[in-house]
Amino acid sequence: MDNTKDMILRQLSDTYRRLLSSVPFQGLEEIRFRIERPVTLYYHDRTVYLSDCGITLYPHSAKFIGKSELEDVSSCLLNHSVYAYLNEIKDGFATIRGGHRVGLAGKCIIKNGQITGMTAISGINLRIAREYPGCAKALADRLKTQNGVKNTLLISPPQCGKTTYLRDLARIFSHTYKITIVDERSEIAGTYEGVPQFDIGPQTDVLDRFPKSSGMLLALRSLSPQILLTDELGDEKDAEAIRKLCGAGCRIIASMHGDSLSELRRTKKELLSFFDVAVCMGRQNGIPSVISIESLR
Amino acid sequence: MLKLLGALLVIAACTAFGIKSVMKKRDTIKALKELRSALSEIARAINFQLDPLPEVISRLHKEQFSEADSFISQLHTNVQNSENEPFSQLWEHTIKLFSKEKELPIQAESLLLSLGESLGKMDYETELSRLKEGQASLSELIDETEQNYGKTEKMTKSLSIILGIFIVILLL
Repeated sequence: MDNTKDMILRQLSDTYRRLLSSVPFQGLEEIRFRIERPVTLYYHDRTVYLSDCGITLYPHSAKFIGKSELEDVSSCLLNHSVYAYLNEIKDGFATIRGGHRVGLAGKCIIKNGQITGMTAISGINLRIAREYPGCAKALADRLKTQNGVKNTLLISPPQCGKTTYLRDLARIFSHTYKITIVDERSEIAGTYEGVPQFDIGPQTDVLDRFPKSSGMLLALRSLSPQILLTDELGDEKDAEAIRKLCGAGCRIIASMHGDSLSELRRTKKELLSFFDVAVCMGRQNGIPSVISIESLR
Repeated sequence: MLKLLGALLVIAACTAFGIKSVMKKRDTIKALKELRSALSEIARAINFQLDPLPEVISRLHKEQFSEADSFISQLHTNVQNSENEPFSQLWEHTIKLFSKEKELPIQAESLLLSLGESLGKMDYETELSRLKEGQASLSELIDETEQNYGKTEKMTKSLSIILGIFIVILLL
């Protein structure tokens, strides 16, 4: 966790590097900066506020962030290079060094009916990526078959550990299989300057920042993966790419946002048809965990 | 004999002074060309890879601008030593130092400082167009400085020798 803390502090502006240096990062999931409001720290079991001398339970004694400070924080987090993150900003968030996600709130810029960026940033949600080697071991054992691994879909609302589990599954299976991760947001491997920042195993290739659908097809053509992992499936292009992968005998482990399997059965019927099992995830006592594993066959 | 030696020394000193002044102008032109080339390389790196500026500078430093006195090298050192200071501040600091060291024309310094203010804060197209404008303005400045240099080079050298002879005549 110290490495995570150091890495995050290095990417913050001077003021917040100093203030957050005394804050415990164990269990910290999000740091929220909202303009003219207290800086809020979300731990897995409690919510507190940042103050000039550490943390406080009371918003009125917390550190309020002003406009220029917020601009400094966003500029630092985006490595002083807005152009490099513009494609991601269009979607509302960017991934920074270490695989941490910076969600942005602000005013939308629209050109020719398309969202082209965001201005007047009014809020930043710094979501801390974490690595728990071994957390998916029990799940991995249940996903193994005689011929390989079941096509698996991890389903949960945000912040229930889908990416963490995917990363650990990649690490575990890569001791046996050739793995490719299509990492559209650099969150699974946290690649920085070509080097994955997380342990993703010895036989894992990463297609960093590739759009999911084209990345999956490219992987199939050029990297011959036995298992392909990707995060946050959604549109029809993804379903089409998965259909081709399944046809080519490649196994897939992916994740998807969703409240429940029954809801996805209604809205994403075609996508579900490619998978053998659905792993529903949630939080138990505040800790992300597997709630149920359901067969889709 | 001593008088002749002294006279020769005075003339040699004045000539050396003239040559040094000419060399300084030549160095200024070289520095301007280096800055233009740095802007072009930064634009190329942004265009090709869309990497953030600190990474662009680090790569350029490794690739070709590694001499200790080059602009990219100085900027790279400042980026490495900074505590996540805004890039515009690092740029400004480096330009001011480089300008002082290489005696850049004031127009070049202000041009580069104004370019640095927006560097990293714009979208991709605007960044590239601003970098291209910067290169074009530097090219104009280089042409102008080279023309002046061509005109004044011989004159400065001749004047320095004449000045030496004049001082010798006065002293004799």
